[in-house]
This record gives sequence, C-alpha cells and structure tokens, in this order.
Amino acid sequence: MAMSNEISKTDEEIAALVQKGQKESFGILMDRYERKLFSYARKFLIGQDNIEDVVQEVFIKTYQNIKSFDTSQKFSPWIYRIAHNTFVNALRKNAKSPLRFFDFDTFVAHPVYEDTMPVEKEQKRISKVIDKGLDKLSPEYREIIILFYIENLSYKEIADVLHIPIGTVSVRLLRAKKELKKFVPNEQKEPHEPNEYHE
Amino acid sequence: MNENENKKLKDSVLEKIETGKINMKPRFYFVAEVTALIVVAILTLLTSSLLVSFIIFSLIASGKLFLLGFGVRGLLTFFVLFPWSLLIVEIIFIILLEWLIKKFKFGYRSSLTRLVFVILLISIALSVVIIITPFHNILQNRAEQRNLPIIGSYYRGLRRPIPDQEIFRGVVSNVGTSSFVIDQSVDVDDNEASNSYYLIDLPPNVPSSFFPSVGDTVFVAGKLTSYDTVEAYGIQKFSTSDIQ
Repeated sequence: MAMSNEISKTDEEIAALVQKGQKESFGILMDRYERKLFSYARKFLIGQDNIEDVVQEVFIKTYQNIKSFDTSQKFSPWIYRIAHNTFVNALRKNAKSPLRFFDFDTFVAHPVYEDTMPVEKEQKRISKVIDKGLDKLSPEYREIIILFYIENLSYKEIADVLHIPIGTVSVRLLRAKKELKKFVPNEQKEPHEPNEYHE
Repeated sequence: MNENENKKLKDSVLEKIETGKINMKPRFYFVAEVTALIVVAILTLLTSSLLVSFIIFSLIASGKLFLLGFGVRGLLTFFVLFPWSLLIVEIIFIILLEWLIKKFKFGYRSSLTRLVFVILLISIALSVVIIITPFHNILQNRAEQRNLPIIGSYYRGLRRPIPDQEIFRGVVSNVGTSSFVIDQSVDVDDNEASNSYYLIDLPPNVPSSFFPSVGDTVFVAGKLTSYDTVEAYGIQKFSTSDIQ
C-alpha cells in the first residue's frame, strides 16, 4: 500500500524519502530511470560491451551520493550528471583516441539559439536520421543529440548535466545537427537557421 | 533490455544496499567537501591578489614603473625587467581559481572569458586595497632587517640597482650644473655592490624642474660609461610614499 502511494510521488519526493533512510524507495527511482539510462548508455557508449556494468555503476553512485541532492531542484538533471561522468570515464578507459578535454565554445558567451521549428516536428525529423548517423559523431556531439532529442532535456538541464553555459549547449547542438546531416545522404534538406534570443 | 535484465540489475543494486555493501555518504561529507572547496577558492583568490599587489608594489618600489615614461628605450628595459615569472604563477592561480569556481552552478554557467574577467577584476580590486595598506612596506622593512624568511629575498632585491640593465638608484649627495652624484649605499642595503657612488651625467636640454636636490631619492636609467659615471636617459625622483 505504502509502495503504491509512492508511485504517485515525484522523483524529488522519492529521493527525499531515500535520504531519510527509506532504502527500498530507491527501487522506484531505478524503475523510472533504468530504461532511460540504458538507452542513453547504448547510444553514447557505442561499441562497448559493458553497458550493464556502467549503468549499475551509475545507480550505485546515485545511491551513495543521494544526500548531496537538493530536493528543491529537479532530480533528472542530477542523475544524468552522474551518468554523464560515469559514461565519460568509461569512454576514456576504452578510448582509442584521446577525448577532447577543452571546448573552445565555452570560451565566449554565446547567444542561445532556439529552433523555430516546433520541437515535436523537429524531434521526429531528427529521430529519423539519428540511428543512421549517431555512431559516426564525436562523443560530445553524440551526447548532446541524445540528451536533447532522445532524453528530452531542456537547454538548462543539459547545461547542468554537462556543466557548460546554456549558450554553449545551443551552439553545440546546432553543430551536432549539421554534423549528423553530413552522414545521412538522404537527408538533403539543410537545417533551417534558428532564431537567436538572449536570456 | 528485457524485463528479466531489468529485474536482475535492480535486484543486484537493492541487494547491495540491503546487505550494506554500498552506503549513502553522510550529508556532513558533502558539506565538508563544499566548505573545503570554498575555503580553497578564497585562499587562492587571496594569494592571487597578494601576488598581483606584490607585482605592482615591486614595480613602484623599485622604480621600474618610471621606465614607461623614458621613451622606447625605457619601455624595452621595462619589458626585460618585468617579473614575468610571477605573472606566470599568477596565471596558474587564475586557472586554478577558474577550475574551482566551475564546480559551482554560477561558475559553469558562465563563459570562460566572463569568468576570467570577473576573477581578474576581483583580484585586481583586492590587490589595490592591499597596496593602499602598509602591508608590503612592513614586509619590505622586515626583509631589509633580515627578519623575513622565505619571501624576504623578493623584497630585499627591489631597491638594488641593476647596472647591467642600466638601472641605478640612490640618494643625491652632490649636485652640479649638468650632473649630480648619487650614493646608493644610503638607500640600499647591498653588501655585494661594487660601487657606492655614481656620477650621473644628465642628458642635454633637461628642464631645471628635473634637477634633483641633495637628499632626494632618485631613479636613473642610463648607460655606465666608466667605472662610476652614468650617461642618463631618464631620471625620476621618488615621492615620499614610494620609498616609505
């Protein structure tokens, strides 16, 4: 009965219960995020055969660090941040070429670009080409496409996951889309120019 | 991912939690981590500001800043004598500080240039406050009394003339019509100096306002033409506040 009540609670409320020592409630958070994290891991860590171990590591770290989570904030960017760090470490362990540590796009303040196309329409369009070209993208482009189009995180949430300015999120996303379209010959149509706005 | 795999992973993690193989880190751990981060960031900012203030103080106290007003020759000598090694250390401090601040939301949400600009602004503002106080003068006096270990040598060397780089300073002991004599031993505690008195030949057409009086402390840039004669291309009197 108690468990069925908890199912209607938000992630943040359940995280608060876990913080108070209700360990079994962590299972509900796992149910909610397991599929998402597996999907994120499979698409980000292309070619790696230890996906299950890596996702398990994410959940273990989440539990260990849950008392650092501020329940007044959203839970999803917080767990995705843990996942991002764990996945990047996994990539580094198996990297054939060194991962880029420094992003020149974080140097200057970029305006935030917002696509004029409705998000759902854009998502449908992009999702058609993601499977064809995602594995050919560099990890940083691959990840931002996954977080925005597959995991549906907002720019602010992605900024919190990747620890980069919001303007950099929009610029990187724009570049990732252009890059993705290079690998998909059937997708001839150039991405339309987005509008520019300042927060 | 099928349901069995899902259950397997969930059960495995929950079992580890139940059996105590994995535990939550206490809140105190995170509070201590953030506190340590803030303390290290503040200490780094203070050290960085002290370093900037020392660089500015050293340029003022040594008189090297006057070189900027001595034409192209003075400018070149200024660049040669600038404490570049301290500036490199300062840059390392700024990078460290930027890295520490990026751990916080307001840090990583800012662009790198904006963050570095803000850090520099705060660091320079703090260093100006430090320069206004007698902090460096006290340390310099202690250093000259051989009462300042480790960093004392940085302060002791400030008032030392550098004949190789055409830099002299001292107290005027005698004034002629086109030259004057300085005694560097009065101003500088320098046992290694080969010569204490220098005859300073003034450049032609020097306005009389540039002429120092006996007892003035002066900074001279010029070429050593003989053992004790300097052909000056720039002269500047130190104000009382510069040599306190």
